[in-house]
Amino acid sequence: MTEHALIVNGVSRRFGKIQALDDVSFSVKPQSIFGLLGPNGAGKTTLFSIAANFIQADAGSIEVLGVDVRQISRLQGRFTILPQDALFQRNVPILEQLVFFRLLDGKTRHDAEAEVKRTLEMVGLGEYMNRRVHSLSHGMINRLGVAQAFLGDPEVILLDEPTSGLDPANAKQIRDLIREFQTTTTVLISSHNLAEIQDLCDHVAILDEGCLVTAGSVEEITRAGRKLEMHLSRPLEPNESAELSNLRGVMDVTGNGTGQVTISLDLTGVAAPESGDKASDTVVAALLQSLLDMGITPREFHEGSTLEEHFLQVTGKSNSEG
Amino acid sequence: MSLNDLKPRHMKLISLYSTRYAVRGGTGLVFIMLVLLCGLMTAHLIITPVEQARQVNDDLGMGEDYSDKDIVEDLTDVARPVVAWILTAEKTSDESEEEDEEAAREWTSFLLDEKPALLSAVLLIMMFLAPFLVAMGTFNQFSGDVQSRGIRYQLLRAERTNIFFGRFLGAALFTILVMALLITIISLYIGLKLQIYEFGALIGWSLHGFLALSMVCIPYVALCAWISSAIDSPFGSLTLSKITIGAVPLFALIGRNTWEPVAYVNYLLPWGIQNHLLHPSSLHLLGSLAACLGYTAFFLLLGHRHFSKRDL
Repeated sequence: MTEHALIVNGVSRRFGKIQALDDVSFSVKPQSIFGLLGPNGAGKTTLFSIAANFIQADAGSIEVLGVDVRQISRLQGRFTILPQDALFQRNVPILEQLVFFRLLDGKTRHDAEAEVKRTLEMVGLGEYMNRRVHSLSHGMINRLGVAQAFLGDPEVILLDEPTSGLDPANAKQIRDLIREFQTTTTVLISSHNLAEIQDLCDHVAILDEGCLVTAGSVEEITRAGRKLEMHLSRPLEPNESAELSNLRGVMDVTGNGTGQVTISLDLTGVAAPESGDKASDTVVAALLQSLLDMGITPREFHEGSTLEEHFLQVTGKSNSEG
Repeated sequence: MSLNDLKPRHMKLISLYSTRYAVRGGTGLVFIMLVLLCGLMTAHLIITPVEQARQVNDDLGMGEDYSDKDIVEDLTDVARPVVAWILTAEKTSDESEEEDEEAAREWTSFLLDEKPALLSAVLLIMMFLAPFLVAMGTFNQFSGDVQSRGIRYQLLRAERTNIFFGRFLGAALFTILVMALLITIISLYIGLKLQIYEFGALIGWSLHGFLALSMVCIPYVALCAWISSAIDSPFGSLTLSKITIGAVPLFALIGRNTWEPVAYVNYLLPWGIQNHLLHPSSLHLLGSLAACLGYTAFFLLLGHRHFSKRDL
């Protein structure tokens, strides 16, 4: 097995006057779920398109499973993609379309049909297999796209906005499928749903205006600048705020005089507990213990969507834009 | 492109898949209907004068003195100058005008006297119409799927080379099947309705006509593959295919009156040589066949070169 499932090495691509990607480099470990984030026009789909050899890079290269993607045929059956906005043929039953893909992958018709039926069942489209695409809803078509990406036993899957336009139940089903596949497969996802990425992925990269602004594990990225929102039984006294601020991992405590406090954390240098919990759990436990010692009862506690905060910080854009 | 990229299995799968679903798709059905409509209307137009003459003959009670064969011979004499003009319109050598005319007379005699004349007439008209009809059926070999990005589902599963040649083969196969259907229907129509030609002669000439028509179609399928691989819009691809196919002979025809060498513009496409597939001389026939294959190879080379490098 190669050390990295996917290596992006100095990739640049220009469309006319627009620099869609500018010297982007990062790598993805095997059997991980990697999130690619960025506002609209950041270059996520361009990067996926280069990785799948749909378009060529002006400079740099991408390797998947140790193979340069310009020799894409060497990856046949090992690497699949859910392309964004790619339509299925309208006049062909969905079973036939997916069977055709598997025949191209080298399967016999019998094996291909069995496998496609199984996969369609997995994504909840078993009863629609003989229908044509025009009779399916948007969500079903999205699931069909995911099904074709999961066909066979791919070692690397690229999913470009896999849950876009899906209702929460369908989106959850897709997330569960991704988790299920993760034990054997490397999945690279681009999504606008930051909570989803944070929930699913171990590592992320954030692109903005074609440049890589951050790459690393979710834990590393969100370690600095994490915030807690608390509603306490009474407002904090100044000395109590100072005491909390002195706790290891706590950077700042701000109250509004009504019992609502915002606590900024800096988890740099805070080791994660051996129990396997996050480093922030150690700090939160210490905070709660201190509050209880002060005779203050925390009534509400909210750990903010920290990846989102980091995203906003590094891209300077609102999530709705992205 | 290297030979290692070519996978016969992939090309076979892709060509059969595209042929199969071309029939189910709207454009495929429109193509079949148009080809049959044009072919049968042409046959009807050719046969109607014979039937009318036969009717007059019967009304005048001249059935025994003036047979159907005589009627066809008389009508053939009327059509002879038109056919000769069509054939001389293809100036292919530096021979003198008289020599050209003499060659055309011999060729006309071969088509109208030695071979079933009515079928020859239909074939000549269909040879002219075929390029336009082919564009109707094969303009969308790639453009629609590139525009909808549906082709991306295949790109990780098959080399671009195999997708390109597989789809071309599918379109060519579909076109040939439609031409086979057309020639069969026309032959049956002429054979059963008039019963003036020997069965063997009609079948033999039909088979030759089918092969000639198929060979004429293939370079135009390749031309459409090239255009379709370069233009994302199916409508744009159809329009450009039609304009290209139509403009070349029109420009050559009009331009030659001003300056004779403009006639050679015809050779940008197979227009200049395609009728030689019905020539009595084997040399002309083989030359035309080779030229059609040459045009096909040239258009495919250009199309493949573009398709394998472009953004999809």
